[in-house]
Amino acid sequence: MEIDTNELLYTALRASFVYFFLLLIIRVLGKREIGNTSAFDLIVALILGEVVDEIIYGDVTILQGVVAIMVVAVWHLVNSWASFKSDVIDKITGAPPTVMVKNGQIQRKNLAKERINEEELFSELRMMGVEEVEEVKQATLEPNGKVSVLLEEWAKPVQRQDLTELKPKGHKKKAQRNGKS
Amino acid sequence: MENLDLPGIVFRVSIMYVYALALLRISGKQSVSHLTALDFIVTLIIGDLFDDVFWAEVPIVQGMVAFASITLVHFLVTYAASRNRFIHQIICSPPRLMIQNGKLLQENLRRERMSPETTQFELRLNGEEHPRNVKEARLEPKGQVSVLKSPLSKPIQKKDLDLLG
Repeated sequence: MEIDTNELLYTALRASFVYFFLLLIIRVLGKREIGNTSAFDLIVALILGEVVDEIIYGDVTILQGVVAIMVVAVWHLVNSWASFKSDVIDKITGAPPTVMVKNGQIQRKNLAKERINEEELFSELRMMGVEEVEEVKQATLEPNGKVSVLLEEWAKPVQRQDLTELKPKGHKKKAQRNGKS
Repeated sequence: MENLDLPGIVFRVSIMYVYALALLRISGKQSVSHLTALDFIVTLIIGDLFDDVFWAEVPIVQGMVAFASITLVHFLVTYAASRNRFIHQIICSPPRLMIQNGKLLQENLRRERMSPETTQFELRLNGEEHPRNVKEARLEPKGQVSVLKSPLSKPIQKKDLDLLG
């Protein structure tokens, strides 16, 4: 295949154009709409990334590429706007959070629904530094695919306020001990 | 390709967007968002299926079938894995202990091709300087390292306040 110097120049120009056009689209979509919010957002990001290679190589015209990207972006905006406005649409298009552990009890039914093995759950808990499932008040698989863990009161890290509660008690005991001896 | 009409592009992109949204919703969010290595690759494949449909290199129906097939196979595999320990072990490599009670398990580290340097930086990322403070460190199926600290170096929990009596 013969390589045309002009074609290389055009490729560079098209690649640069695509870069700035995508930058614009991503800014318009906003950070909640792209990438990290849900599985579908990730797919949309991937679609945008895949669509542009034909533009860069000149397999489709810039106009065609711009139209395709704009249509994806517009649908995605409409989708996120609609689920923001209406609870019904939000329920239909978005995934609800799934409770995996409640009050130290593994919710096996919910795990099965999400096709998560118990081993995976324990792995997630260990990665958050949790050794025993009893320590967990609630572990939830959130809509963005991440796991949130709320600990039982006794398993929570000590906070400053716990020390101030402790202080008078400690003093009293010390005083008693001193009095006795 | 020059004769690709713009309304056609709008039509195909719109159909595929709604189709993808519907299919992902039916198959459950976990099919892609709970990112194991397999989930990740499946997500990449799915993302790659669309552009050929947009540019009419394949008919819409073919794109739909391809998407549905990948999603269905992945659904069945992850469903089977969640129900059956044996299948789960075939698909996900099981967690492997790297450190136990402060000692590096050389055999396991070799099997996972983890150098001492890698072990060290994984510990640092978990805010730990030395293996001696670690009760158990594992290489988890997703490729991350989990660190459970030894009883003496664990952060204080509220129940520990009882120790002060």
